[in-house]
Amino acid sequence: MKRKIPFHIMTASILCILVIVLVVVLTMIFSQAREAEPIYPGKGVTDVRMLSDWFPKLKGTNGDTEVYILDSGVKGSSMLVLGGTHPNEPAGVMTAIMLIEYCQPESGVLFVIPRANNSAFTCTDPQEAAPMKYYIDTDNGTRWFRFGSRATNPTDQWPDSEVYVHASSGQQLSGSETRNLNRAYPGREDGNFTEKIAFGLTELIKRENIQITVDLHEASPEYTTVNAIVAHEKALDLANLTLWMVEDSMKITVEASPTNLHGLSHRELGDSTNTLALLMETANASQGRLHGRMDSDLVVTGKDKFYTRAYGYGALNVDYPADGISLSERCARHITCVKEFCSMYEGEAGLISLGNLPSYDEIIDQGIGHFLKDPQ
Amino acid sequence: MDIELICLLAMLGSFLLANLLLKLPVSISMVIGAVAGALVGGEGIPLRHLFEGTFTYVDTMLIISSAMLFMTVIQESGALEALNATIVTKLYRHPALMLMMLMLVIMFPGMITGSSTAAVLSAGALVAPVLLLIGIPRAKAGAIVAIGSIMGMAAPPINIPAMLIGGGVDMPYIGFDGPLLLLTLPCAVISVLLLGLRHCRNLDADKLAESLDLEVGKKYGFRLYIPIIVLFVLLVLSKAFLHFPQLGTCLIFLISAFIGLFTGRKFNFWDKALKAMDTTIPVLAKLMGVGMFIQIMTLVGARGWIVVSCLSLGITAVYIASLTIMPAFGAISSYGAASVLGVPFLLVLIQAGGHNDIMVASCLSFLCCLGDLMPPTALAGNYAAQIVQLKYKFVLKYCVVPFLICIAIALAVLLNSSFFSFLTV
Amino acid sequence: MLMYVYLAIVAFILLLVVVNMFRKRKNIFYQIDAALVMVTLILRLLLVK
Ligand SMILES: [Zn+2]
Repeated sequence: MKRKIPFHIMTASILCILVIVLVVVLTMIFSQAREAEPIYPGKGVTDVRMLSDWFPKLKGTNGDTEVYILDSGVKGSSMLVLGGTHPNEPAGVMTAIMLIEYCQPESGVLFVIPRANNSAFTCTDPQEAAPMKYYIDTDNGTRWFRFGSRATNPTDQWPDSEVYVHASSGQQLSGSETRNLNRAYPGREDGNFTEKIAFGLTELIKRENIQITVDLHEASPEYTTVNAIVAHEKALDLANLTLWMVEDSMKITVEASPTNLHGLSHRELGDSTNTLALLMETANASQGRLHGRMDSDLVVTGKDKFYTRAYGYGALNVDYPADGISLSERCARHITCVKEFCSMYEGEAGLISLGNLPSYDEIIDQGIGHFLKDPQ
Repeated sequence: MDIELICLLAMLGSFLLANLLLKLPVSISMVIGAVAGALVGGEGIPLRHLFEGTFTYVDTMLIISSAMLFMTVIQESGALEALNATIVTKLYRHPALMLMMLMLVIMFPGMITGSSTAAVLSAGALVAPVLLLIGIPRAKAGAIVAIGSIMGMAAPPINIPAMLIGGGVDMPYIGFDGPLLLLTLPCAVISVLLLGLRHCRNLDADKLAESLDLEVGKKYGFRLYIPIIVLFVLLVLSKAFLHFPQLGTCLIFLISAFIGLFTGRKFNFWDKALKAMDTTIPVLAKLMGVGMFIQIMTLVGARGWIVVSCLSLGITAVYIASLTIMPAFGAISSYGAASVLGVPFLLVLIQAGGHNDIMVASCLSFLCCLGDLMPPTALAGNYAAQIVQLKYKFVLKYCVVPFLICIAIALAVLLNSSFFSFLTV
Repeated sequence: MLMYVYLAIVAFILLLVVVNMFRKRKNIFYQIDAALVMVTLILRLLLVK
């Protein structure tokens, strides 16, 4: 006699097969995020090293990341530009990539880290519905770039504690900040994964005696600190001088780093190293809570009718025109300020000059793609 | 009409259609709503987005599951019966005090973990039988547990919506203890007295003794309570001492449950664990559905539409929306309310001036927490109803008045935030 | 280290879900609920997401 399989076993089995198929498909989709966009170093790049050269514990982990060194060969000061502390803030990454591909310093040494939190590039934030890639047209073809998460990938660091306690200050923040690189500074040698990345960056700054550190960010347009330079008290003079230089081309403010907000680069790097710590914010619609449809176009054009409306209601801290705040404009702000930080700086170690960089207007007129290499 | 609004209507419409007309479970209805939104938005069926959204709740899932396992152990080992007997025989002469003590017990796990579900499933399940014993009707007992767990979720030291709102504007989680106590304690006391006092003015000691099981307590004595003590000690230690190893609520529940296997009546753990998960799976699936729903709302721009529409009506409307839409958003998710609405609302209120930022953030987080009563998701409400073995709609009826009192208190504090600013030190 | 403990917890809960799905006569909706939960748990267990 043939035994009949009960109906509920049959449906359960079918569902299990479906689950396996789904898992396979989703694994293929989510693993794509682990591929990094190609970066084509320009003439200025003299060496590419890894962060683990300064903090070996990172070697072989998802937190190790490329450090591009642009040494002019002329004695001078050194500067570190951090892009991709938050991989959901593309102007930081794109500015760093543009420096790597385009910049040729004339004096001093420029260190550029395009993917400061490399792990955070390998995933996107749940409920933010971010695209996995965004696309930029260069003069001959389209290049893709990785859109990531604000925080370290949970597959590298999990679980989060319910409350994140910043190690050196005891400050308490929401548990989700445990994986936020910009709440982990100055980092800990034996800390969690994100604290180790922060520690590696702090080590690099100390050992290379970096005079200026610029951490490039973006913020949602409704946020209070946006279109701003946030400066550690030691770096306030430099920030104000720069403000004076760039005021004609852009609306921007200087804010002093709050002394009671810990773990951020502009506070902790300034306190624990000799570097002049600066952080920059531009307005990124794709990061906010008001935007309409979420896709690569929103990331690149910054064009969003809801933000324009909210601006009309007086709910934003920045002007939000109907044609948006494009990635080109945001990068132009970052590049212009980075360049001016260098030209305004007069350190004992000598000057640093980032020759061969386009002006604010040139970047806006020709688009960021014009200053990137073509896809190879 | 904006395409984003059309998407939103399609999502809500197909959700309600599936849930109310086709009588599908909330979880599947949420998935249907999400898929409908994606289709109308021209995204096809975006598998990646659907399942990415669920990951918001992975940690919540683990906490709920482990809390359920802990509760099962406590019940099966006999600790629950023994505890009920002790509380009632010691305190029956002072009903108001007893009710307030019981309310505090319900709140405690929520205060420590910031999760109303954890509160309902641990202390709520301990206290509910006591409430029934002293003569409070099932529905009202469920309402007390539901409200208590929400007050616990909102009360300091841990209030996750407050952290989410604060995190969105870079406000450190400092100085929230006073404001949150000001909001939660009066609401908790008023609610429990309002619902319960009438029923337990004259308690008869002998009658109570009849319905209590005094045997288990005598047989195993103090060691029955060891798992509960371990749970509280570990929860408090990991919050009070920052250098104590951070095990996480989930693991703490499981460690306590494991200890409970050896301190009371013996039972087949595997069978009971399966049963516990059996009732938990639909709740977990509901969370998966919520995650998908919010992710698609963001993808098609419906989230933006909701927020911008609230902002478009000016400052008075933001007040009204904080008091109505924000708790109502709990029908989807209270954490969602905090991050989707709480952050922009706080920014608008701060810009309007005349407020104490921390007081305002506390009020908004408190209002978000109330959302855990909102059906159909109603994380706190549904579990509380399950504990008193009723459908949630019967319990909900008794939650309405306390809910309105909470809203009124929140409004009073919100409007006088600068007056209360001394509490934020 | 703690991560592996938590992965073990995920595995245990996943096991309880799967067994429940097959255990007794359940309606199909319950099984779909269980399947939804399974996908997320497996993806975390395999450290895909
Ligand atoms: Zn940032």
